[in-house]
Amino acid sequence: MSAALRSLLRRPAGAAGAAIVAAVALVALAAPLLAPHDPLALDLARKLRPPGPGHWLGTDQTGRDVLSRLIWGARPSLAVGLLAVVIGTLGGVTLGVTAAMARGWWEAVAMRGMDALASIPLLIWAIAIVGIIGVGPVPLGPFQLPNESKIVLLVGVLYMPPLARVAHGGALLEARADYVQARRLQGAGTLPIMLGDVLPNCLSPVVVQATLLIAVGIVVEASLSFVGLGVEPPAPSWGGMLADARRYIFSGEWWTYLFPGLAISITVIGFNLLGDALRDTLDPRKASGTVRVVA
Amino acid sequence: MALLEVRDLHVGFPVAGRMVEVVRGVTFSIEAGEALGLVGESGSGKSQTALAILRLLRHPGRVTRGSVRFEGRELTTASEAAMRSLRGSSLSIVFQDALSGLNPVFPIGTQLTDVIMAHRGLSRRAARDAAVEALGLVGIRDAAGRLGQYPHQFSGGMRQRVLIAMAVACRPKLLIADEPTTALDVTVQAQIVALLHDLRARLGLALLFITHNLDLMAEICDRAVVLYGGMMMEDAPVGALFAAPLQPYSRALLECVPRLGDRAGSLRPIEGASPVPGRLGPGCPFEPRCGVALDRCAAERPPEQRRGDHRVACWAAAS
Amino acid sequence: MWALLSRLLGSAAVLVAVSLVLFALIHANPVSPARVVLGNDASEEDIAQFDADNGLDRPVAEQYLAWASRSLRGEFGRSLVDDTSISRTIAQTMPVTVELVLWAFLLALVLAIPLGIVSALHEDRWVDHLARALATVGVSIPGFWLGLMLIAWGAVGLGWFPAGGYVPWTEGALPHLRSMVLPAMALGLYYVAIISRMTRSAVADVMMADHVRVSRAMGLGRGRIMVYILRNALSPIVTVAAMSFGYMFGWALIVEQVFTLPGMSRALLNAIFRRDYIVILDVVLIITAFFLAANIVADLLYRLLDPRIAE
Repeated sequence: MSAALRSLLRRPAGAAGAAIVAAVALVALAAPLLAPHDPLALDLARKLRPPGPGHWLGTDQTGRDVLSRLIWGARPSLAVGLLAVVIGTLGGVTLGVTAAMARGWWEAVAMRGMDALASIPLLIWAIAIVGIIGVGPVPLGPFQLPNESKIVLLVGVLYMPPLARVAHGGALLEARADYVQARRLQGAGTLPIMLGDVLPNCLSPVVVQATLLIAVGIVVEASLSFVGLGVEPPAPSWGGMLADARRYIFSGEWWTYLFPGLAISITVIGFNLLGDALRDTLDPRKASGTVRVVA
Repeated sequence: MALLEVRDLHVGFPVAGRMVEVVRGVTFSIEAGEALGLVGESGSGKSQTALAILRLLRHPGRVTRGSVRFEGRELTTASEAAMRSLRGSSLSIVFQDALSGLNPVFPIGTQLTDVIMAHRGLSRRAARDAAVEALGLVGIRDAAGRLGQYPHQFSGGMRQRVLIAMAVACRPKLLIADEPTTALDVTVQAQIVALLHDLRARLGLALLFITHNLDLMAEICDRAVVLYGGMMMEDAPVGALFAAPLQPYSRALLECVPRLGDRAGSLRPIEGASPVPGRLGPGCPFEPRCGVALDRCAAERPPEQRRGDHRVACWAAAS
Repeated sequence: MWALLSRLLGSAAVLVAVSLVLFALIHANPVSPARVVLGNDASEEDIAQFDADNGLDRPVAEQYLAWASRSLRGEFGRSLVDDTSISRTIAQTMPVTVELVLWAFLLALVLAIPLGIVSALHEDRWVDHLARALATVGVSIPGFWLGLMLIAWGAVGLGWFPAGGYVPWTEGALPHLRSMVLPAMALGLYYVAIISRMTRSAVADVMMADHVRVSRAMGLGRGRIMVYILRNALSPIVTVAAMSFGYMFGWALIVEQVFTLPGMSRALLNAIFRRDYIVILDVVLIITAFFLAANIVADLLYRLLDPRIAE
């Protein structure tokens, strides 16, 4: 793995992608330390100030610090992208690998189910689910989950098919491999073979796919926040900031709509570069790029 | 004048800023109608030699030195248009990838007629007739009925026959056959070799037969050139080579071939590792594995010596 | 033929399953449509009357069947909120969305395929690096932000295009087309990137194939060899293009919001904010059906284009 990591970082694209992702993750984690202002603090005396000392990226229509909101806005973006992929990976890999090991009816049911799920368009369904349940926090016992958790769950479930397919394909190959057959002849049980041999060896394409799907998830979250179905204001989110900034396109307050868009794009570029570089290092058979995420 | 004259051919691939030579000064010639075997293990430079003759080396590989003359014309400096009109017409080739050599989404008839029309200036209908004739030549029955079929509807051996038909449809003077049987079953291999033998006789074409299989080579070739590590080791009539090889590598190679009547276990692989292009010294590439190597073998390239119709590059054979 | 039939049946099953899920979600919702329409201070009697009038007092299964049989006949019924015909709403908004998607799709194909081919032909040369860098940036810029930037550039800055709104054909072809340029670019760029990357990798893969080397070795001309290569690379490109077409309907809704186009997003978001559930259901199912149809077309084209599968 460390050899793969080194070879990943030696590619300029891989190194750039890893650096961007690491930087955004750091910003999200250390938001309270990094943000110069309270992202929610209104300052009506200082609204729509251009970038300058005190507010390095300017202020928005209620005088909130754009830089601080950008820093805090990294949190919902990364959270939705990562958590959806975690759900999709856990579900998809479990289904794909067990289907490949069990074959028979379970394989048929699981993979046909994945095919059906894959024929559901992601974005419209995210809109529909939030639309029907309604925008608002989700009570879960003593906790209040934010509105985005609906997006996480739906996107996570819809991420299962592509991850299940690559896991299934990889696991089929591994299960047929000579060393697995040999382990079987030695009397090793199905579960140890599945967890010890097949699973670790079919994860490379899953990691590639998952990285690219994080990028898609971030854009979905931003798009939903933009139309008012994602992160609820006044909590900072990149999509929500762009929704607020729409009307300032005509009056020239460019910092309100330039920086949030750059934040989304650079973060997404980071994950895409990292995913492409991971594919080139981990999965050389597909190096020319046949695994493609369309959304 | 020989039909094909390859002189001091060098082929190199730039790797990490320096040229790695995979063919390092190969010289041989083929007379009209002659069948020459180019023999060597994989990595000996035999396929790269063939591709260099046709100027089909994979980018960024290129001929770095030497000359290739076909019918007296220099090919290494010929224009791309001149090469295009030569390829598939008077200078043709059959590759080893019989299964993937035909375009899967076009009927074989289209692929054949396209080649024929590119060189023979025929109408589509006349080209179709020529395609049927070419398929008949390689022993495909009901050729007219099969023109509309796609490659996946043919077996491996049949696909190689179609590729041979394509290669000889424009009556080449020289056919290069680059390991044409490796992708095929053993029984089919024999049929393909017999077909090449037959075509040579019927069409009067010269053959450059590239193989690592000495037995197949001996079946159809008059003369053999042995390559090792990108260099010519020996060039001799097949009979002389089998009876009295002069180069220690040729001897070792011949001892590797299992013969009828051999005692079990008498097979002797050549000891040591195959040469790695780019990591070879200035001397004979076989020196590290050679049983009779002299001091100078590692330091100096052995000179080519001629003994009648037999050429050899070896310091030990020189003394 | 069998494959097509099973795909059609599968898609129908997906639509049924998906409509059941949506129906169940709507009915699991604690806020009833009657409450939404009549307001918080409506009496219990009024609510019961509303439910009886709209058939909402009947069992859920019966409501579903009634809705399904109506939908199958192409009648979408009436909005619970303002009693307008849903069919009319859809007939008014769908052409705008479909037109936007068509323009964006056309733009994506026209730019992406030549770009991908040039990129593959000059693999690892500067054109290729540039095209690949553009593609990476292209898949990473969200369409709605690109839309905002295009408005800032093309409408506010240069003044060449309207900043939003829809000019119908009846007011002249040129003004109409001008109002579609920026939205089509905003929606299409992501797919330019997706399709050009697919084209590049498909063409590059084919160029490495043995049969291309054979074509070269047989002295075929450049043009003919290019035809051979492109015909081979066609199936994956067409598949990705058709799938992209399906996905575009989803993102078109967001882009419509940026440019305030009166497409299906207006119907859908209005319905969402007014909790007009039947409209949500119908719009989502229509777009899902477009998506399924695009997938079937992708599958069909793939089969038609590859003689190995065609049989």
